[in-house]
Amino acid sequence: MSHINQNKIRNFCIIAHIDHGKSTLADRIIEKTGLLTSREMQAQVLDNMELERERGITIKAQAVRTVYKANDGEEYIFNLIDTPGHVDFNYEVSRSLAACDGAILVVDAAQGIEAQTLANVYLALDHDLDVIPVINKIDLPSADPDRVVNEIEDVIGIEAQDAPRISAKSGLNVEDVLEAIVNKIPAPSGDANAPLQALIFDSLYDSYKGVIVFCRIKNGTVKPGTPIKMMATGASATVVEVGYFGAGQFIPCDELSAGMVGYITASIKNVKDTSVGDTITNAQNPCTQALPGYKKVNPMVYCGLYPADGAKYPDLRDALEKLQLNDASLSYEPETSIALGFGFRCGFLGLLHLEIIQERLEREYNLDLVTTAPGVIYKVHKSDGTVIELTNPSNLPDPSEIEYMEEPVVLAEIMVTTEFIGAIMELCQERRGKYISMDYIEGTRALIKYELPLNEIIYDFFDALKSRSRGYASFDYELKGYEESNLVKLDILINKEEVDALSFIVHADTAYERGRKMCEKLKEEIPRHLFEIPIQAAIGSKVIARETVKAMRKDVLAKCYGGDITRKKKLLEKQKEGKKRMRQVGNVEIPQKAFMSVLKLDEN
Amino acid sequence: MNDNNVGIYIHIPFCVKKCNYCDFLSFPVSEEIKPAYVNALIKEISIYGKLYGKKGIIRKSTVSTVFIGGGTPSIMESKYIYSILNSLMDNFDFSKNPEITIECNPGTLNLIKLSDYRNIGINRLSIGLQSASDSELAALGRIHRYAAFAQSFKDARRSGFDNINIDIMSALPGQSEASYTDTLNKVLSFRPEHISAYSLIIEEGTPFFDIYNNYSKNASYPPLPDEDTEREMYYKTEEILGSHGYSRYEISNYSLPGRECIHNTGYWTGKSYIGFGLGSSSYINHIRYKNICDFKQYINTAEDISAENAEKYIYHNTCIKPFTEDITILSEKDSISEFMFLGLRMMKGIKKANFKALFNKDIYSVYGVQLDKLKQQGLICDNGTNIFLTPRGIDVSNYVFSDFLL
Repeated sequence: MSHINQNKIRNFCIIAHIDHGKSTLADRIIEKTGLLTSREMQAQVLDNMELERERGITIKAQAVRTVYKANDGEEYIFNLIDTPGHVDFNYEVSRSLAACDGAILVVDAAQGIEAQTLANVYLALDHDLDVIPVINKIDLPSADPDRVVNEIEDVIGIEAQDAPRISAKSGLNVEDVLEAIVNKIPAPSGDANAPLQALIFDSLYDSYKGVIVFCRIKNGTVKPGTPIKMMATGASATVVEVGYFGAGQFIPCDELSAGMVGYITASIKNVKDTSVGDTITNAQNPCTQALPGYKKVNPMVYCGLYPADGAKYPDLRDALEKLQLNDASLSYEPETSIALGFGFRCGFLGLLHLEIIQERLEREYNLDLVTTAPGVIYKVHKSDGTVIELTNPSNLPDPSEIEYMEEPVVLAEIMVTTEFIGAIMELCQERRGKYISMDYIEGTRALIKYELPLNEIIYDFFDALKSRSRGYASFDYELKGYEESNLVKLDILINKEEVDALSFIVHADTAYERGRKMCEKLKEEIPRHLFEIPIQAAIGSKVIARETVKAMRKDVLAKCYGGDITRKKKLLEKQKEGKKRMRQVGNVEIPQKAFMSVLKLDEN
Repeated sequence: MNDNNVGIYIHIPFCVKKCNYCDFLSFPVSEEIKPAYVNALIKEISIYGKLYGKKGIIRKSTVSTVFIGGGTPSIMESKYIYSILNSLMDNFDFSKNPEITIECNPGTLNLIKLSDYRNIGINRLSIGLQSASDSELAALGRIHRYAAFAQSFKDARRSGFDNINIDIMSALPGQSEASYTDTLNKVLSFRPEHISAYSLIIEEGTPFFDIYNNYSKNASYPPLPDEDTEREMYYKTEEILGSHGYSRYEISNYSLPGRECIHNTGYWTGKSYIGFGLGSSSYINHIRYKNICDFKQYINTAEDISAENAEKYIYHNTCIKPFTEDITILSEKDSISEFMFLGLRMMKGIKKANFKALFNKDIYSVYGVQLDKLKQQGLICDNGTNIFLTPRGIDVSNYVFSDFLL
């Protein structure tokens, strides 16, 4: 396999709105190209993270290499890179795109273009990729491929008349997609004899092999023994193994040369030495210039992550370090909280990203976590002329030192059927949105643009959007910039003690409402104690809302019947376990999930 | 502790109709099920008898108490109860005149049945009145009304029962402080030897759980009393019963002097007991056993045992397996925890000297932190010899007990 003609390689990815069938098509391509027999196929082979299968979404970009015998009689090597569809993971999409020469755009034949379709297409065009449209789910009763073809041409402006019309689920016409890949996606160009230039697009950590670097070779050749150097970090190592991606496994090979996608191991133990987007070159024969890499994506949502058991702090640190290797968009730095002890302030691309990281830490690293309310980065302009980028509400300077504050604003694109326009606009107004424009698509749908403060959409905006449009609205956003805003810090006092981990920043107009709801929610979450506990919301020294957790009056076991002591003991054990999962603040025990209550303020 | 006395519990899992709050192992059955169950019970008794009975190969124990509970055991005709007791007496030593209690519910009793019970050796009754208010009884889903209880009690006395418990409950749907006081006074008018007063707990899996956890949709049901009313009822119980000569000896149990329930006291003080029947529990030599809870499986297990293989079971010492579905061997920590959370249910609490004698440790060396904290919170009291719950500690006894789990 070492002498592969570049003309016979196709590096591509699949982009789509969530649930339009991207992963199913990937499965079908793998199956049809004969890498796996259908008996070996496990649904959605590329989604191998347990969490991905459960949620039915793709989180990590995944790569796989297959061999396809085309109608022209030649064998082609396909490097397929699967990408996430959710807006939070645009960064992942962007990384995969950098390793590709073309993209297949999957559009649902019934739903047509959605907000994320557009977002992903724009990303692909930004990377100069050829976009090949594919109409999927044509076997659905509600499928209307002709309408969708027109939508693609009108809205995106790419030719779609001869787009393959397929059912990835049943396998219908998937061959047309394979031929389109061969005929329409350009072969990679690059010089196998030039100095090595390889783009790192992903990496993961393996306890035996060390860091496994996923890369696209732009120029040159790399094989075991090649001395390599990371151009940005300056770290150097000697290659131990190179190979390509089988389905869910790594397959070693002799060398990787220009145009190929594969992995490199080099006994790199320090996870910080390999940063995604960096260029690998030959240490003895370096290239003159690093590849452009890609723009570092800045986290938009921050929250505190604390180990439930304070002794697990080093474990959490190790876990975050390893996860960051796998997910470069995650950032973290140590912080301390009076209520929660030692932990980390972590930055995420969005709320889904936060949830996924939290779940991965809990499942893959077996950590029990306490998460504080997510917030965005505020710019605090102080009277002395300095500007603070505030990620932790507790660090807000005294109001007397603040000149004014700014909050991040996004430009949101919402696609919705016309009957729900009113409901959606109402929602955007409630969230302090500023109307920008509305365009009709095909008469039945509209693309609504709004400017919205990011802190209004990070909690539950997506859920609200779905429920007010009966699931029909789709949504994407990009950061627009910062705007001055009348913001205040809301503090929560439990039994007269301020709990730093519960403070959050909120717009002055909604502070009262939020404070009241927060107190109500905490009243539900905090169990009764032997004494009465006041819960107060305050801005500065002014209390704006109050609830009381009444003292525990009764807590008695029922009849201990027929001597079934074991059952009663289990009840007591449950109670004891409950006590353990509490955080002691002053003499009040606060359940861990109470720290997330701010997220659920809008639930009824 | 290691005396040869043993308590025996017999479970009758049958009732006329399941009550709305009941989460015990019981269900209505057709008549022909009863003899099959009694036969199974007798087989189980005879196997255990060979191990722990008069000529027991593991230990020869003397019966101190028998408690026939349910369900509604009084749904059983006296011939069945006779067979069960007869089999117990065949197998176990009854020479020490044990306390023998049967639970019964008004609506399943009559003078003849009660006289039969008395004649076959039962010497204590526990009657489930629950409330003297007919509307409260209806809301609970009980089959009887107050008048039926009054008749049953009189019949019981006429049959010669001189040791009777009455079960009542507070915090019932629709109950007021006045109606609860009325129930207490009516109960006192019968001058029973023993009164058990429980506070209704809404258990998961019962109709009440569904109704009262979604009360807005079930507002046709009477509401539960609010917390303050409920606590007032609870305090009234001790006040009123106390003023009539009943002393509280356990969280929910009151009696005239010397009339404490010996059987139930055994549970709190770590005495051995053997449970027979569906889902029953046993405690022998630091091991807790739990019987099969599936009715069919229980009956089939008994049917599979013949005279010959019964011998085999016994000599291979595997006899506990056929009826047991769960065995817990208590570690020292388990035993210590149980000693505390069971013993503290008794008003006189636990004796520090007993702790020392049983575990060869000073109680403060094990529970110093907990005891100091609870004392400071005013939930327990140490009078030098005993440690016991304060009135406030009784209110939140779960909270206190969970601190003693090791």
